[in-house]
Amino acid sequence: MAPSYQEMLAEYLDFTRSPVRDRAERRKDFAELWRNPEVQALKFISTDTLVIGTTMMTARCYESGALHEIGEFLIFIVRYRTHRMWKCEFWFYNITHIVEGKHHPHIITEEKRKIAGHLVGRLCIIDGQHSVYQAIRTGNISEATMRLIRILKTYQTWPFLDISHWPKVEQGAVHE
Amino acid sequence: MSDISESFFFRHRSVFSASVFTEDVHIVGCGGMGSHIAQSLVRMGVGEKSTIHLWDDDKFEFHNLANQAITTKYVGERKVSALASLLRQINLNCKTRENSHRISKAGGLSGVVFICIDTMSDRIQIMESIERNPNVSVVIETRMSSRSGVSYCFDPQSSRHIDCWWTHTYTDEEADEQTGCGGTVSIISAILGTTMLALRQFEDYARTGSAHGLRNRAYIDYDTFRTSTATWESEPDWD
Repeated sequence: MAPSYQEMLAEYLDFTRSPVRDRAERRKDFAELWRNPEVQALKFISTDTLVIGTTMMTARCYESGALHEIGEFLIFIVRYRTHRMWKCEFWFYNITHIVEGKHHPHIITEEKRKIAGHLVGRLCIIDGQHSVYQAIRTGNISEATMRLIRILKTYQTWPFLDISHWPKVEQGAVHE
Repeated sequence: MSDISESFFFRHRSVFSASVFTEDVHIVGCGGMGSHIAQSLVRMGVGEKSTIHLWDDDKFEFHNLANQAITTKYVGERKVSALASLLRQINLNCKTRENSHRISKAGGLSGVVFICIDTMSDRIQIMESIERNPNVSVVIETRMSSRSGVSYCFDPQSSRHIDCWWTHTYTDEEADEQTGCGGTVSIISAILGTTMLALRQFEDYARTGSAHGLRNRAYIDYDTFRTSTATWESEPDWD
């Protein structure tokens, strides 16, 4: 049986413990995350790893203007304390549209990194990554998720694989 | 204070009073951030009733002209010597002490400590040492890239402040990733912007005599000009 909101909230509060964000703020964060229309699943697979399942992500090609379906993603957010520093990681897994081994035009498969049995991908876009790490570090997973989803919907120059390899969105089928 | 100094600092006396500020100031790292902070502090009158201690084991090179407070005359000289000379050209009465070796332990630090160094690992090493030094009353630690600047101002004797500072600490690996591919790291506009954050925190500290109740974290995004601040005083229920 799927965990209830309260059960998930209790795990979330423990996962996001932070001296710079109090419980009330983190309760609000969780409510935002829970209500995010682009998040369709949340699950803790360990005390330091939260998995977020997204809806279909699309991105627009800056050359052709066409909208492409990139896929539904699992976002793995890892947060734990070692010595005094908070270590943060985020990884991706495309559950619907892995193309030629690539999860996304800008996500490369990390050959040695498996989480929950999935060979996960590492993002190459630098813009905004520090803000994501900062959000995870301070325990604001809602903000981190919004930023990561925004990045998943981004297509820019120097991809690992051209966006044309992903299917175009049919007229009227999916909206940005 | 001499008559010349009095007239020098008269205009900003309501914001910062050099005649009553007696704490020593240590500037750890005399590069982009450190050189501009040092120069600005002297212009405010710091160094009249206290000493400015400069810490850096490096020499100025030509490429430093792009973002550090020096002139071609000082290229090739030790940063601490060149900077001390520049500071005295601003105010002859300014007292400085030059430390041209790498600071490994914080035993020699006291009063107000500005940390303006390059690597996170060095910052962590100095901070772990400062925590055991009761002579340091406030730390102002700056970080910047071409896209953003942040300054932390906190009481190193406060376990609450230290916990909060650690929450904003990361590895050098993550810091390197911030610059991206071909990104410019230290542009003068970002340096001056971040210097402003640190100086405002210093002014606040000097006025109140405490790092508590201040804006402990001040952040600016140079692309959007968005700023944010945080105060680390409330005790959140974080267990």
